[in-house]
Amino acid sequence: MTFKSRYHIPYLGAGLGLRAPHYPDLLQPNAGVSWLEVISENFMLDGTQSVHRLDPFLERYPIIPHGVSLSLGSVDALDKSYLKTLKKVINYLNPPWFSDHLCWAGYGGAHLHNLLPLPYTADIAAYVADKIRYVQDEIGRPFLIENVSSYVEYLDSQMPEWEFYAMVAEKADCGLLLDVNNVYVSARNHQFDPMTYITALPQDRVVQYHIAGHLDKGTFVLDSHDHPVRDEVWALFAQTVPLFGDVSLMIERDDHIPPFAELKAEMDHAQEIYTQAKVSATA
Amino acid sequence: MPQPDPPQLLQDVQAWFSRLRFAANAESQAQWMDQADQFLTASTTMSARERLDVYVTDYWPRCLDSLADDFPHLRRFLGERDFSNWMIRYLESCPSRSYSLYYLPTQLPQFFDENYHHADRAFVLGLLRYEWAVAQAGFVAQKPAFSTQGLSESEKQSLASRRFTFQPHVFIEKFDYDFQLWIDKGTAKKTKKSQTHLLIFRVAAEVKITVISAVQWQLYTYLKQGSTLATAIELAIKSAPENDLIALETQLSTWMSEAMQFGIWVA
Repeated sequence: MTFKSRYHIPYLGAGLGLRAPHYPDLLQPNAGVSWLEVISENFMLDGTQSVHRLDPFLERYPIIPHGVSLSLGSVDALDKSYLKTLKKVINYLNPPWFSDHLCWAGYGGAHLHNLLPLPYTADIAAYVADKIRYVQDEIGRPFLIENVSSYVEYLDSQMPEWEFYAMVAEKADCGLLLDVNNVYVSARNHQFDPMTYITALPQDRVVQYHIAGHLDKGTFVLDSHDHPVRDEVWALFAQTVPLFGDVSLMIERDDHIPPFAELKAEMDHAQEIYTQAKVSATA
Repeated sequence: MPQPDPPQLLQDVQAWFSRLRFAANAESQAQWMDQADQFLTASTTMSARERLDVYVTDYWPRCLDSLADDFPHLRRFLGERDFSNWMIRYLESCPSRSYSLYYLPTQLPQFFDENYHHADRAFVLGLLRYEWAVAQAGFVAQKPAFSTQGLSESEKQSLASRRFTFQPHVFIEKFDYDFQLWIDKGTAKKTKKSQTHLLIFRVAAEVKITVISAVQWQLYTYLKQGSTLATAIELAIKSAPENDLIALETQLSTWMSEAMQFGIWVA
């Protein structure tokens, strides 16, 4: 039985990240968005009371909590108080899955407020997988890990990122949130073929796509989430879609948030590419 | 299920990177940057050190921007350069311990109290406390509010002996300066001393800043310290000047109903 069928993972279609400037638009009837993703921590600040701010959206949309602070790869133990609050938020939202990043974000109790890549070794894959299992046991819902964009590679890595990503997912028995833009960014920064990365992933574990914009800084590419999706990422997305089954997709934009109509048009474009790629694959 | 022990390689990488990341200036960063080649590879376009720098340069602006958002008026008073210097000193001394940048200033009042000894110390410490209260009122917990609805008759009769707990987002503050007036004027100069009492709290998603009288501040302070309503009133009467005493007698019921209306007490 595959990961998706075992956990009855639904296909949600095309969604957007919930951002304050778009609240009124998303509360209009027929906003044309199938689901929303929220940053989990934004609704954990006041002991979960703020999660009620999502009530009007929860009446209309499935809401998927996406975290940035689990810090699965940190040598620090998982923060049990954080997990307890996260569980309350998740239970309230009742999502079909939740997600965070395959990275580390703090050390010695201090937070670095960034998503930092890990050295890719079997030991570290096993360590992170154990932590993911712990998280899944605590929360009791299907969990996805997202690949982060990166700008450094470690001398002591024993395998490419895609092998590490797949190994962690298999050992932890979790799903994958495949950020297509992050694959592109890391591929440019580390000179690998992005399709080598994507074809190496376990097909049945890919549950969700992130698509976002980036900045080309000349000597490297920066994952900025503040620009429209670039053509090279659309092209990579079109190549990705036929490899996996039904996978929910969403557009991420964190800065320079455009008007709703503009972001919605980008989401519709993603949906068109997705549909076209599926049709072409079956033809 | 126990949490696993981390591999040594992770310990080494993260200890090194964290020391580098929390070093605020080029001089203190240098010794850690010099170790880049021991941990990282170069690419065809960038050295290991240049690649590392992408992460290092990102941390300080992110934290400083967050603090600037929370303390816009302190920033205006101190000026851009001094504000940044003080915040960098603070972050070096007190790295972020929360998953959220909202909590970045948690130790800032204490840090300034211990380290800021200029002539305008009282003004700066007061302004910092004012802006931090306003910021916290915007995001800390809202618990179910106390209401007299649903209370039995005997419970209503015994309200005087009740101890009231304020919502975590309620701040009962006394300042030696009228910061609201100073902010409205938009001046960068320190204002004259003028004692003000403020009630800072949140209703729905909006932070409200209300000027209260000295006696109301005293009454709420006694309540916050754990006195029953009857004791708090008694103590406030004892400490109030005669003019305020009249206000206490005539406005007590108004304050009580406003407190109920705005839900500032926890059920």
